[in-house]
Amino acid sequence: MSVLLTLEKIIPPPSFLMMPSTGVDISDTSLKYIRFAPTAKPGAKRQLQAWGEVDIPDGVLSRGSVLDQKKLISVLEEFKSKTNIDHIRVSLPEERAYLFETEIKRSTPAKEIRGLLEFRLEENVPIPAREAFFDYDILEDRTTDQSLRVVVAAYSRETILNYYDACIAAKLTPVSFEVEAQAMVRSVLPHHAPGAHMLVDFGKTRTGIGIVLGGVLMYTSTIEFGGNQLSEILRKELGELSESEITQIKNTQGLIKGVIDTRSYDALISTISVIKDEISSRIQYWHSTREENGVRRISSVVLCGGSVNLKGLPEYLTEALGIPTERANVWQNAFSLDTVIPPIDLRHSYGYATAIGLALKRTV
Amino acid sequence: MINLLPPTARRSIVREYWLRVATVWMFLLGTGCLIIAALLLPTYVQIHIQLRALSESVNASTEMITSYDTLAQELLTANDRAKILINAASSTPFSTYVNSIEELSGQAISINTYTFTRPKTGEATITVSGVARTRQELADFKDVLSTDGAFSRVELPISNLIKEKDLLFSMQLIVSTSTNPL
Repeated sequence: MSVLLTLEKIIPPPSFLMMPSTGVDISDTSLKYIRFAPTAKPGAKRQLQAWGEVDIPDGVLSRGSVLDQKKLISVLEEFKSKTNIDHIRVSLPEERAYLFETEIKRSTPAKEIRGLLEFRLEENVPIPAREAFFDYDILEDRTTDQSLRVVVAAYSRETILNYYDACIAAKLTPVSFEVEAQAMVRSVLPHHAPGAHMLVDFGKTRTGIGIVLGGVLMYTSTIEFGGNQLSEILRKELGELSESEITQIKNTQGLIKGVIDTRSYDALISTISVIKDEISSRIQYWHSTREENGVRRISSVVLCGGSVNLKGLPEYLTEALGIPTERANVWQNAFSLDTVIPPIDLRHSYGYATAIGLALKRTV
Repeated sequence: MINLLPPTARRSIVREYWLRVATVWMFLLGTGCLIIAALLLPTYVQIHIQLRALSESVNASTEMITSYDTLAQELLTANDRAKILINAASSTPFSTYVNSIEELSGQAISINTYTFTRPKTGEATITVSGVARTRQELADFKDVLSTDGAFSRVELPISNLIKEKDLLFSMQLIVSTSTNPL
């Protein structure tokens, strides 16, 4: 594999062959997109070609479900008119995802794996197999002589077709659909990062949690709590402030206890502790599943998402969870920050983690 | 890598991917052919020029060969004619023999016809026909001719000597090869 990668660096395939596509992260409140282009700049493989955000009105999407497809189409059309692109890679809401890990005999012919997994789907997912679209990934690191470990991701047919039909109606060609957290892994963790890591996507309306083992997403969960709730609590405590003022308070004071005025800290800490507890319970659940010589123990927590700029959040979670927690460097797999200065500032870059991960994907 | 596209859409994307792969290969193949064609163009031009020059040379040579053949044929004809002329120059003219025969015939022999025969190969002959007054004079005439160096042999049929007087005769004179008449 490394020989092929080296060869690819020496003789890069034409971008036409790689089907250049734009990463599109559709959440309940916004559509974020990122597109990379190859560059001849020394030390940099790619540069940012297009990026942006299109607001999604309320009532179009709720917890990943498409409520108003016409409006979603118009949002996608607006995105299409802005960027004039055809091929996109879209993230699917993790609230609607079903992930499970299973084991199959190593001798199973490749053609029969999918059929076999269809039977396993019935046992692990609360939707009939005929009503689901699923795909799988073989965990090479954890495959033995007798068995193959496989992780399966499934969505209801309706969820996927709602997104797919909307894309087609907006004259966009989806190249891939994948779970939001899986796309995020590609941007916030180094390639083939060993061990288990937890990704926390702290969004406006909800917090997504993903657990990654050997670079493969194994578990997802959603906490119905996001940055907007923190803003509401601050407003209750501090009075009616504008969104920019609230954001300013969150980003500059956050979870750092003030000497004179501790109102914002008091308001935020009680709410954040709820999130901390939710995260902690998921870590405990993960650690309670099959132990494999400590490989499954979560070694780090990586934070990203639009609301992750809350001051003191990584330090608080490190202390509370007992696991090193840090904000992600979303550009680490795109280019080196020593050679390229991205036009998106650091604070906003966390919100683009999924779109970046989607744009980095190169296979069909 | 997990891709949750609907299966039909995924097949369509995979098909498009392979179409692109084929397009890239065709483009590379076409570019390679163009480069090779461009590199071979000077060689082609040179070979073409050389071929044309060689073709012209072959045509010129063919024309020359045809000319040589014609000339050779004409030369052979000329040679034949020259041989004839040379032979003619070296042969004794027929008139010399006629004069000689006339001189040797005297008054008693009246010669009516001369027939000269010269085959391509062999001896030239002169057939002389006429009337002799007496048998003796005819015999004398034959003897005179036999002793003349111009003729190697004189043949007079015995039947010509049957009559005593006014003998019609026809004798054949074989010309000596050293003095072959024209």
